[in-house]
Amino acid sequence: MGKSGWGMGKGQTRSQNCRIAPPEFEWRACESVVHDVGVGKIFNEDGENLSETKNPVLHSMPCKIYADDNANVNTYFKSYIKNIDDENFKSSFRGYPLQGKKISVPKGYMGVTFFEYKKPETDETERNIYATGTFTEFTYWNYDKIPSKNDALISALDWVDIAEALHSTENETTSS
Amino acid sequence: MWMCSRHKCSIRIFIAQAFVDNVVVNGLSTNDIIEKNFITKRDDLTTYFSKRDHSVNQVHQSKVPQICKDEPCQLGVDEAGRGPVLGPMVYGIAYAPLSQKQLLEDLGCADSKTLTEEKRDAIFDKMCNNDDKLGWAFDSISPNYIANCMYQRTKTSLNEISMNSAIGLIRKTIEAGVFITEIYVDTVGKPEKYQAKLVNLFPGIKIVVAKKADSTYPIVSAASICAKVSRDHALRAWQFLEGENDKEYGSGYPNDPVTKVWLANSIDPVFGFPQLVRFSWSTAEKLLQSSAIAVEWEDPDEDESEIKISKFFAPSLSNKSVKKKHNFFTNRCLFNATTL
Repeated sequence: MGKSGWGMGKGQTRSQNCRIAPPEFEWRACESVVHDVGVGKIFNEDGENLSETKNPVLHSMPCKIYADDNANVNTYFKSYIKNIDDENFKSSFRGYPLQGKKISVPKGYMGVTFFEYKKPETDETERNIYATGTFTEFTYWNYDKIPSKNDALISALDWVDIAEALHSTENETTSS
Repeated sequence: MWMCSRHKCSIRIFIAQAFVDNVVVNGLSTNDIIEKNFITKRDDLTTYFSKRDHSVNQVHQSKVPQICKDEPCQLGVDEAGRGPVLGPMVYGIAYAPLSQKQLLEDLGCADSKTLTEEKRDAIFDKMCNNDDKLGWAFDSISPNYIANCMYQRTKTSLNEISMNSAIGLIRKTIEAGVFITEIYVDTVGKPEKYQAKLVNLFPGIKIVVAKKADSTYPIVSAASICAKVSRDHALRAWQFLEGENDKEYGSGYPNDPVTKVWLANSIDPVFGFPQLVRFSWSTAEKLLQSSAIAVEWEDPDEDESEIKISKFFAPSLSNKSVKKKHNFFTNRCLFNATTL
């Protein structure tokens, strides 16, 4: 059993099942997400094979779930999602109250889910990580807290604009 | 942790549904229209609960008889299903004019715990037949609401949930125009404290909070019967959004062997249980600990860890060569990704 993960990146991810070389990912989100790549999982409902989900609907959970398997997201989770207001949602996971918000992948970036069958035992060996699907938005869930700029993942998106500004060439310099 | 699914459309359907539920017609929501006068006999409870969203609380008030607006009334409060690990906790109230005390005794309103289910059902039927003299209401508190409250960052105890439900029902009854002069409540926690709280909230009304009030005051027995019958029907009419589930779940009490078997057979490795279960009950927690996938939450009490004072005097070896990153990055948990 391999491991699945996700990321948001800029650059070409070519076609399905391409190898993603690390340099193509200029930006990665917060630590908890990176951490979850190793611990948590991409859930795929209806028992389908992960690699067949081209446009996954993603839910970022505020807890670690020590599993790497399909889950009954549709019936056990999605069926209970309710609107709080125009942009926030609420639901529950194992009795815990959750509040969530849809987050769009920044313009110019692409969300990619990927899968690695087996991590090579030595660092020298090239790793084969396969893109299994792409996404443009996901639902970010907090434990009993409305998602806001105080959340690391949401504020991490600031970096996209800052990086843009830092790396852009000054074409309209103000003369002083 | 990521979950993905392909069926975007079902979220949209749900949103549309929620919207329809709140359509306002001439100042009354559709919910109000359905609820007013909806339950006039016991069978209506089954219809009512099978069509309701079980994940949220449901309040229903019977139609207020004119005599209860004109004459001073007594009101009783009691609950059903505080202990079970399954299903809602139901708060019930009943009210009747002080002049109708004899009616309550004629109906057989006595300590509800000494009554069989059949007897309770029969008394509830008789209460419905006397809807020109007495009224009642219930608040069915969903198991999911209970678990959410108990798992909040700032926890709400079961006693607080109970009191808030009772207070809410009393308020709604007063707002509906019932002329209440006396309130009798079966206590949760210390009666003195609860009584003081109610006296403060409802000045000018005689308030009695007592232990085992349902065996002492017929109006509390009536409330208790209303709550118990409602809970029985809510439990039986439960519709599982989680898909096919065995309906043989017994009484819902943790020590009921049928309930135990049902719980053990109803575990989803990731999501735990269907929302019929109160996740915050230790019975449920223990089962998930032993038979479901481990889940770890951030600790709400966990703040910046304390640093021992001696650390400031010890020579720091570890930090010497590490370049400290700007707060912008540490706050956002951002770091350089050179490898995957």
